[in-house]
Amino acid sequence: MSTWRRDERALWRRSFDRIVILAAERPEPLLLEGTGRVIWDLLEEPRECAELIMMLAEAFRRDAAEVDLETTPFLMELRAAGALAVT
Amino acid sequence: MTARWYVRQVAAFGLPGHDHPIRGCGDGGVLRQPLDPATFGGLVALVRRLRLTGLLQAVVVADALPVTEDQRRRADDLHVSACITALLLERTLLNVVDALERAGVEVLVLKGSAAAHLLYADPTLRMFGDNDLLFRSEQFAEALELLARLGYRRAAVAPRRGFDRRFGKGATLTGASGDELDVHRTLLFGSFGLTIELDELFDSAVTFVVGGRQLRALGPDMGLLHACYHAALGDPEPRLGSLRDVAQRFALGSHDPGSVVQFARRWRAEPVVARAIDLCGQRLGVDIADPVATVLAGHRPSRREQRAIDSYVGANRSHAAKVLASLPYLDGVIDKAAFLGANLVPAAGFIRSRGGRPGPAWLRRGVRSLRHGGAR
Repeated sequence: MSTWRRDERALWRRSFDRIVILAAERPEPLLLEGTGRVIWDLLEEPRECAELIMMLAEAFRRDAAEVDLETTPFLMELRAAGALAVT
Repeated sequence: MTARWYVRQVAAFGLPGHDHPIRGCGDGGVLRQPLDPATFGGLVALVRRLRLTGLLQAVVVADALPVTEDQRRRADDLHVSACITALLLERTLLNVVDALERAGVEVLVLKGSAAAHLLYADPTLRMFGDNDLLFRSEQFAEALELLARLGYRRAAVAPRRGFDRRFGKGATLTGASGDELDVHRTLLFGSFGLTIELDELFDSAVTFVVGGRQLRALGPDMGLLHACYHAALGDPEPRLGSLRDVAQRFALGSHDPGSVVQFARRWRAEPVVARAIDLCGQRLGVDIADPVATVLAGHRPSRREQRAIDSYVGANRSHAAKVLASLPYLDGVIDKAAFLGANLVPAAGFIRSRGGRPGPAWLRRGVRSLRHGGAR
């Protein structure tokens, strides 16, 4: 079971409802808002994928299977962008 | 004037007794309506200049200042921009500290990122526009050489060889990408910087984490003293952000009041701490209730101390005024002669870097500035 967490090398700050992230060795900052911001907040501590999906489904009052379909690619994007890490 | 009324409240927001809604400047009652566009525009301009965007964000998020959707968006965009600056600086900081420490150079981070992470649960509240580093005197030259190899250039050279190590405050360097790096040997130039026992700055260092890396900063007692120095003497018009740092440190209460008072006395810094506390009350509207204030707030500067303070923030802040005011703070004739000599007859490169002409013209300029005053 994969565990997602914030990449500790990523530098970040909060501005209102957005998160500004400067991932390690990336030239440009990343801005997270909406679902991206919620994911970042939920990953204040590492979470197993299934737990993260359930929490998102609850937060947005949606079916977990649908959330899983949409969220997993997004998590992979954030990992590729250096914001998240997975073990 | 109106924007200043509001920015003062923003700068103090969240301190004990200052987490209430923003008060209007008319009747002093709680604001019920968003500010008019001109006033909000003035507030935003000040907040940007004073790097208080994080606190403005806090005020709006706490519903302590009613805003229109457009005003909220402006405040958000302003803060995002400030956040990006801070993050880029932190990345630079990590790279620079990494290079220095691998070379065996000990370094402490002053203000900026250290203040953000050590003084606030959420570092977004404390924005900054440059990096400041402190080195031991004996490693200062080595640090400068290493930083030069990393692409950092120094605009103003030292007055004479050896001056940096013996008397200098430090230097301002500019990186290849235009970032500013202030490197310090002591906390400020001249009088009050000469009496600091520099090794003590390193003795009580604490750590903080940025990007998974541990960095070192001044401990609570030294950090409070540094904040007082910076707020009291750093600018002729005290910056609200600097005063907020002083008030925030007092509010946190991590310092040992007895120790702070002891250091202030040993460093002859009582008038500096007293001035910082006084300015918090006058300019920030925050009365410091702390044993340090009880002991030092009533300190009346002697004529010598006032002359020293004036050389930083008075009408005559010229280099010549600082040099003269510093003499009583140097121990022994040899040090006084060396300090005076380096400043009266500095190297030609130093004079040119300050926009002067080597030779008698430099001395005449110094005498004129003593007579007629002027900025540093």
